[in-house]
Amino acid sequence: MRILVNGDKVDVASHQLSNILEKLGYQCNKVVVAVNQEFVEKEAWSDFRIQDGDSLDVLSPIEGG
Amino acid sequence: MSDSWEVYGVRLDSRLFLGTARYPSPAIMEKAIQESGAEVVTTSLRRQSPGTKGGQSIWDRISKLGCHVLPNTAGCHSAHEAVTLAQMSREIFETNWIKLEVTGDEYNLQPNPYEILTATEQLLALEFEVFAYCTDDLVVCQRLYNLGCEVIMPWGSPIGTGKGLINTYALETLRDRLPGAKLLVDAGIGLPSHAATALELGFDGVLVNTAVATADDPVAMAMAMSHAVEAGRLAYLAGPMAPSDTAHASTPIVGTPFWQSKFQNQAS
Repeated sequence: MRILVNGDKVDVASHQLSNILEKLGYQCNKVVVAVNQEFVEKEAWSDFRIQDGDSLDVLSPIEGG
Repeated sequence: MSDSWEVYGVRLDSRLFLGTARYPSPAIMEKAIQESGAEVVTTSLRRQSPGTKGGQSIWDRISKLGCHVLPNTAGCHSAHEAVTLAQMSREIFETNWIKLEVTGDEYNLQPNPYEILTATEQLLALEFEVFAYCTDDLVVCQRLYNLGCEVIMPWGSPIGTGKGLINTYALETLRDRLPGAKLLVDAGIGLPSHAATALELGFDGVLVNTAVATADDPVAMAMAMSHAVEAGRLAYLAGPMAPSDTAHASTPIVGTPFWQSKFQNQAS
């Protein structure tokens, strides 16, 4: 299925959020995730099902003002 | 003299909050924060590409400084975006503090009061401790305070302009009308004198980023801001003199030599 990850189209095989992040090469303890602009707690990642067309925002800390 | 204060139950000795963006290097940022004595620093979240470490190294440096972290919601344009970003920030930064920013206009990055009020209400219900970045509008600030927002941070002028406090009347009014609120000037401070003025007006603190980070010597400017905040606060506590329209000699007149003869000569 095709999803959006940080605005880029990505083809993934798994529906499991934690699996998708791992396959994409994210260090899961260092990022936070929203799916379709809704926050998904880390604890819920293994049970969270991603659907075709979903949009993921994967964020990490940066400097800020 | 001890002049500590509390923000959402956290005791602070410094009244200077520092941003962590736009420094020439991470090492200079680190040194500026240390030399300023700031105990609260702001951070943010951004998209990370797969396989890269993103902002991890900068975050590692910031977290080692031992400061309280105040994540922001910079870049959000709606209450919904801000609440989502706040939830993400809480998970990774492990704090209930959130500097709420919702932009309403791209030209001067003016905060959107309607979305900020909505977001504040939702965030407080989710047990966040909100530091609301807003304009100096009295009614908006009153509403924020009445919702339970303990820390209100009106701008001095638009963010990154360095124009200082362009409406001191509005800021003074906020101080007078919201005596129980923690008020910090956030945005627009370009010089230490601007920071000092904010504290002289009775503001509890200031949040500064660009003025320090983009100075020729950010470490020296961070120290200057720190001294200015301290001086402004001391001046406020000292109780400034009342301004007068007429001159009053500070040196006693009685016993002035030659004074009388000088005026007698002019008269003759």
